Amino acid sequence: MDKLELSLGAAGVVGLINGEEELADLAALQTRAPDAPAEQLALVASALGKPGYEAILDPAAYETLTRARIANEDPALPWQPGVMRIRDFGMPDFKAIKPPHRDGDTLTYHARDTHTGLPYQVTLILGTAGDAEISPLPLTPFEGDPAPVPPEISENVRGPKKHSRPVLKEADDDDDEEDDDI
Amino acid sequence: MALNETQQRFLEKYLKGGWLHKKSDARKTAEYEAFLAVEAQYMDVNKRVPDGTDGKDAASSDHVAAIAYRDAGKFKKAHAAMDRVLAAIQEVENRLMADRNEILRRCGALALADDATQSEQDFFNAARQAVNTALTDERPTPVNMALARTEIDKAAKIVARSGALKDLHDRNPAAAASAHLAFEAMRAKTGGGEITQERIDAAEDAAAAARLEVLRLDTELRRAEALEVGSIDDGVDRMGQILDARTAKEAAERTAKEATDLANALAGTKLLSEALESGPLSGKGSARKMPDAAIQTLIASFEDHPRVAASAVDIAQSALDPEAVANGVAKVGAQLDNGFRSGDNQPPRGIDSQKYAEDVLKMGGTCGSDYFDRLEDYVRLGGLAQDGSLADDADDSVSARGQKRSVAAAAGMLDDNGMLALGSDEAKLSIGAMLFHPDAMARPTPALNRHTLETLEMLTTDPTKGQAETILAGVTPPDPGQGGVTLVNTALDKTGTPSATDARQVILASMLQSVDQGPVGSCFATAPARRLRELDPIGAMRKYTELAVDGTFTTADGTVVPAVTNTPPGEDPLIRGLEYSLAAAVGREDSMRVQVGLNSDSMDAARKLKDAVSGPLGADAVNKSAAFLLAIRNEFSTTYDPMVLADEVAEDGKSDRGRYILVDSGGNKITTKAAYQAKAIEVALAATGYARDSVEGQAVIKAVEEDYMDELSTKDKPPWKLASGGLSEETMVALTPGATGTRTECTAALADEPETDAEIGTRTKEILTGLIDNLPPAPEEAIPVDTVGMHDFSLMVGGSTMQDFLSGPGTTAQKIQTKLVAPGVELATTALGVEEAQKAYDELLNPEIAELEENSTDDSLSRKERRAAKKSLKKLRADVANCRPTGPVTPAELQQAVADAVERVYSRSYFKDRMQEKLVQEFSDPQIVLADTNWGDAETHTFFVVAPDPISGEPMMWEKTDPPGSMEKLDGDWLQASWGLLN
Repeated sequence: MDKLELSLGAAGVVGLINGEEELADLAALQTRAPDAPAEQLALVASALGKPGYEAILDPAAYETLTRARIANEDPALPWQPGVMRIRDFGMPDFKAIKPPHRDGDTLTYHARDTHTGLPYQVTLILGTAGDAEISPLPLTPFEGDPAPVPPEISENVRGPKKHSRPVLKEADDDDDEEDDDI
Repeated sequence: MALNETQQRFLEKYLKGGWLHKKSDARKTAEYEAFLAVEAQYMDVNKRVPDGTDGKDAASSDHVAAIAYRDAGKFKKAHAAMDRVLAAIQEVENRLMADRNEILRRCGALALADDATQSEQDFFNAARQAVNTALTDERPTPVNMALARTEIDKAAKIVARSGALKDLHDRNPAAAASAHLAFEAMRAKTGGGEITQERIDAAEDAAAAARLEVLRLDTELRRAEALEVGSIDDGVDRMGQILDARTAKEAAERTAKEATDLANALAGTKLLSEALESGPLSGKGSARKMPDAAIQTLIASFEDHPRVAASAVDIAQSALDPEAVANGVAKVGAQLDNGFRSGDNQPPRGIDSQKYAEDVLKMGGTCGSDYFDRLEDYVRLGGLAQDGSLADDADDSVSARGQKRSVAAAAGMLDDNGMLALGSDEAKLSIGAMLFHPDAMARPTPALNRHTLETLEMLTTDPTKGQAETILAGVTPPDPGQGGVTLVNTALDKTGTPSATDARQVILASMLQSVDQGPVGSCFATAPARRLRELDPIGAMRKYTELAVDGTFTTADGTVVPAVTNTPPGEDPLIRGLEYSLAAAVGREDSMRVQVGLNSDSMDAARKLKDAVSGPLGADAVNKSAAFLLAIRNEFSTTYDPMVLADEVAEDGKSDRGRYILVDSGGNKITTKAAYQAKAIEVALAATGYARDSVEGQAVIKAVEEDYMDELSTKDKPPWKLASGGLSEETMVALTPGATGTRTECTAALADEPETDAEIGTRTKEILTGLIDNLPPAPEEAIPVDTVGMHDFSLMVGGSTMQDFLSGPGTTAQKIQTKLVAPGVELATTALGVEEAQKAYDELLNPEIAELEENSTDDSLSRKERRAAKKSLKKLRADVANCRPTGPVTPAELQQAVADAVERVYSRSYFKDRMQEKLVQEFSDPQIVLADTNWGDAETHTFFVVAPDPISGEPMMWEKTDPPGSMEKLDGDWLQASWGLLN
C-alpha cells in the first residue's frame, strides 16, 4: 500500500507518494490513483481540488465544531448579509456524515464548506482525470417560526426617505388668546 | 270725424238735448268721436300684430275696459283708456319689430372661427338660414320668433365654442381637433343649443325610465319563455307571447339607447366644455403636459361616458400611464352603465359604483392598459358578487399581503395537472380578485398588480411562454430533506410533503412578485437578483425552480450552495431565498478569492515555519508544515461588511469602501493580530498532531509565534486586517455568466456634501454626465451601478424618459443644457397661474388646518394638547388666508408664501421642502428616471429621478415613488458618493 501525505511544493501544498512522487494537482492524483488509505486520499484530494471544501476525516469533530457554532448563533435574529450562520440553512444530518471510503475507483468523502460550514458529499473517480462531484447534504430546518426582523435591523436598511410629521411650535408666553375664539 | 248711423244712434242715448245741455252734449260727442278715432288706430295696429305676441292680449283686455267706459257713457274716460290701449299695442308692435331686427342683426354679426370644421360651418349656416326664414315677416309670429331665438342660440353657441376651441387650438392643436370632433358628434345627438342642467336632468330621467322599461320587458320575455306548454295551442300561444315580448323589448332597447345617448351627449357637452376651461385638457398653466394621445382619447370619451371621462381627466394627469387611463374609460364606463353586474345579472356586493369606477381607473393608471382588458371577464364571471375571495387579512403587512395574493392568484393559473391554464375562468377569477375585488381595492397592491400583469404577458408570449411551460413541466416534488421543502411549505403555509403542483404554484407566485429589497439590507444581492428577474425572467424562473425543487442555488461558475431557508415572516420565501442564497454564494466565492491572496502570504510564512521546525521535527518538518498550511487555509473564511467599518476603512486611503473580515471555522471574527496568532497556534497543533507541551509542540508554537507571524506581518494586508474592496462586483459575477466584475468609476467622491442649489445642480450634472459618458456601446436596459459604501442598484438606460433624454444629436453636456437646464430656468422664472398656485397652496395647507381642527376637539388628547391645537389653528387659519396667492406667482414666491403662512405654527423649512416636492411632482418636466433603487413592495416602487428644481431651476436628483408619483429630494450623501458602473 502506498503512503500518501501532504508536502510543500514550489507553488504550495502538494501530495507526496511514498516520500518521493509529487502530485501537483487533482488530475495527477486521479491519474496516479495511489493505493493509499481513503483518509489519505481524501485529505490530499481536498488539498488539491476545488478550494473551500475541507475533507471531514473525523465526523465527530465536525459535529462538535458545528454544534458549537450553532450554539453561538442567536435564533432571535434573522438572516443578515455578511453573517454566515448554519441555522439559516438548516441542521446537518450528522449521522449521514461518514469517514472517507473507497469503493473500487470511486473515492467518497464528506467535506466541510470552509465558508458556510455546511457538509457536502464529494465523489471522486480515480484512474482518470475529471471534476469531482460536490453535492450539498440534506439539511433540516430548525424548529419554530422564523424570527421576525427586529426594528433595529429593518430601520437601518437604506430605503426611501420617510418624513415625520412637523411638530407644533410652543405657544408664545404672552399668547393668552381665548380657547373658544376660533 | 263723421259718425255713422249706428254710432249716432248709440251716442244719442247718452245726449240729453235742449239748449240747457248743449255744451255738455257737445263735449260728450267730441269725446266719443275722439274715442272712435283712437280705437280705429288701435284696430289697425292690433291687426298687424300677430296673435300671441307678448302684450297683445293685455292690450285687448284694456280695450275691453275702455269699451266698458264707452258703454257706460263715460266717453272722456273711455277716450283716455283708449289712448293707453293704443299706446300699449304700439309698444307691443314696436318691441316685436325691434326684437326681430336685433335677432337679425345678431345673426348677421355672428362668424365662426377660421378653423371651424365643415360640419360646424354647415350647422351654423343652417341655423342662420332658419333665423332668416322665421323672421321674413316684419312682425313675426310668436312661433317664428321662438324658432328664431332657438336657432340664433344654436348659432351663437357654436360660434362661442369654435372661438373657445380656437383658443385651445393655439395652446394644444391636438386637443382642439379632438374637441371639434367630440362636440360635433354630441351635437348630432343633442341638436345643439343651450345645454342647461334642467335639460340634462330631464334627459337622464328619460333615459333611466327607458332602461327600466327594458328591464320590465326583459322580465316579461323571461316569463313568456318560462310558460309551460301542455298542448299545441299552448305552444303557439307561448311562441306568440315570446315574439311579442321580444319585439317590445327590442323596441325599448332602441329607445333606451337613444335616450341614453341623448343624456350622455348633453352631459358630455357640458362636462367637456368645463374640462376645456381649466385643468389638464385646457392646455393652460405650467402643469406637466399629458401626452396628446391620452388627451385625444379622453376628450372623445366624453360622448359616451361623460362622468367617467370627467373623473378620468384628473386621474390621468397624475397617473404613471395616462394613456392607459384614457383608454380604460370606455371599458370602465361600459361596466358602470351596466352596474358592474355579472353575466347572470348578479349585482356587485357593497360598492359605490361611481367611486369604484374611479378606483379602477386609478389602479389602471399604475398598472397599464392590460389591467382594463381583464375587467370585463372578471365582472362577467361574477367576481364582484363574491365575498371573501382574498387570501390576506386586513392586519397583514404589505409584503405578506402581496405574498398571499400572489400565491392565491397562482393557484388559479394552474390546471388539475399543474400546467399553466391562463385562459381558464379560474385563472381570470383568481387574478381578477387581486386586481379588481373591492376588498383588494380597499387594501390595494398597485405595484404587485403591475408586475403580475407584466408577468402574465411574459407567460403568454412566445418564446418565453414555451420556455416557462417547459420549466413548469419539469418541476418535480421538492427533494425530501432539502431546503426546497421548507421554502415551498413556508410559501403555502403548509406542512408535510409538498407536491410538484405545490412547487409550481410557489414558483409562479414568486414570478408574479417583483424582487424588492426586503427588511434586511442586502442591496448587493437584491440588485442583481432584481435585474435577473426583470431582464431575464426565464432565468429567474429557473433559479426559483432550483430553490423550490433541489433546495440549492448554483452560481454562474457552477458552485452549488444549499438554499437559505430562514426567511423573515411574511416575505416571499423563494424571492428572499434567492437573494440570501445568492449573498451566501457570493460570500463564499468572494471568500475564496480573498483566500488566494492569503494563501500566497501563508505559503511564504509556512516556509519560514518549515525552516524553523526542521531541526526539532527532522524529516516531518515538510509534511507537518504542509498540513499546517492546508489547515490554516481551511480554518478561515472571510465575510464582507460593506457598511459598519466604513470609517475605519477610510483610514487606509481607499475612500469608504467596505472591508473583508476573517472568520474562523467556529464563526468567530478575527480582527486582531493576537487573536489570529492564538488561532494559528491552535490550528498548527491540531494539524501537526503534537501536544502543546511536547518538544515538537513547543517548537511549532515558537515557529508560529515568531517566524510565521513575523513573515505575515511584513505583508501589506495581513489576515487580521484584510483589504478593502467591493462586494457588488463579485455578486454580479456570481449570478451573471460573462460578467467581469470590474467597476468603472464615473464620478469620484467629493470631500463634502454639496449644499447650495448651485452646488447640487453642478454635482447632479457631473453624475449624469459621468454615468452616460461611461455607458458601454450597446448597453442593456438596466445596468448595475453603485454608490460606494451605500447602495447597489440599476441604471435605467432602457427607460423611455432616459431614451428621450439620450436621443438626438449633441454631447451629454449639450443635452443637459437644452433638455434639463433650459426647461428648469423657464419653470423657475415663469409665474404659475393664480388658480394652479392656489390649488397647490390649498392642497398642501388645508390638510394641516383639518388636522388641527380634529386635534382641537380630540378627547383622546390632553387638555393642554387640545388647547395648543386650538391656538395654533387660529393662527394658521388667519395666516393661511392672509398669505394665499391672489395673482400669478413664481414657484419660489409660492414656496415663500407657504413658509410665511406656517411660520407662527410650524417649521418653515419643513413646509418649504414639501411645497418644493409638490411642485416638482406636478410641474417639473422632464423627469428622467435615472435608476431603479430596488426599494419597493406590493404597493409602490421608488426610482431615482433627475428633474429641474422649480424653485432654483437647477437640475436635481429626487426619489420618486410610484404610485402616487411623489418626489423627495435626494440627500447630500448620495451626491457626495462615488458613482460607478459595474460590469
